[in-house]
Amino acid sequence: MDFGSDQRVNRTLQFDPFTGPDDAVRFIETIILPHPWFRFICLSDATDDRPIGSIVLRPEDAGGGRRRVSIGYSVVPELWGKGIATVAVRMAVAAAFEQWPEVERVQALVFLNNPASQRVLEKAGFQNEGVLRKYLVSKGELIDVAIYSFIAADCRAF
Amino acid sequence: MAAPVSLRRFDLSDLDDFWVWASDKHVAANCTWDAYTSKDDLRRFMEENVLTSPWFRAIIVNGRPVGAVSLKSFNGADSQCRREIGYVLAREWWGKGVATAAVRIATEAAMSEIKELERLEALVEKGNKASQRVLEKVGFQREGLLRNYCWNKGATRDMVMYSFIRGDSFLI
Repeated sequence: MDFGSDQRVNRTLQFDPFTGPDDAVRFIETIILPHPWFRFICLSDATDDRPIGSIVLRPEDAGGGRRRVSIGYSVVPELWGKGIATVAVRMAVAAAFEQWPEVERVQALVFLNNPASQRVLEKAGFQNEGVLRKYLVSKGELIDVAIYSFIAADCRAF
Repeated sequence: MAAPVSLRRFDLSDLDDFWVWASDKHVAANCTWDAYTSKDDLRRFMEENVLTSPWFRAIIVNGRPVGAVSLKSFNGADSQCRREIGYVLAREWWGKGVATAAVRIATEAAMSEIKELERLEALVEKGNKASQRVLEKVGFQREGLLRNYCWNKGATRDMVMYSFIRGDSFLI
């Protein structure tokens, strides 16, 4: 519930913040459980293993293949600025290339008004390929997004 | 001066003209589909995809179809502001400004007809300079090179992303 209900987290995501436990249950049932690859981010040295963020991989190929995969992630605001998302992204990218040998490209779209998230991708070895103008509608507004990618060749270089 | 170009909806009676570019391996090399080897297969494609599509038009020169322009929509409530434009032209008509005229007409028509449209985008293979020039001459902006973006004919392809946003200026 914590990060799902926080306005600061949801400002740059495409979900509305949870307003109550029912929203969270519905989210778990409709989004998380059927998802091809959804993971909670937890701190391994914490006294409890409560999720402090989440990370997803989504196949994007037209035919349902996994050559092109999208990554998305979020972390509770109290733990922003500690490099957690960067580590989680690195782990997820490694997992994608290991589990799905056909992956050619992992990509991420980041709202232009979210420079912290862009730095996460840059630190994790993604290349900024450009800005896609008026690409999405989020909360009623047209949004420019930056598109980043990590390709198979980057594995060897990184 | 080049012959005037117009667009109109397809009809099944256009099958023979459609066959000219759809069966041409040189044309298909730049596209995501393979050249057709059977007119029956092409007729089925016209019936199931072309005639039923919300936006798939014939490029008309001298009263005959010489190619096609189509728009693809995206799934997701957040992506209804976006369409992807694709175009194909019979080889005989390459290098005469026909595709450029057709893309310009199609872009203007799309913006006028589709009220929620804000962004028209196009993906072109990195090596297909002629097609990139078509978009640039119309007034599309090159936004970047997307590495390993598509898989086509057994290889991964780098694609250049172009866009025309509602309010952008046409250059022709």
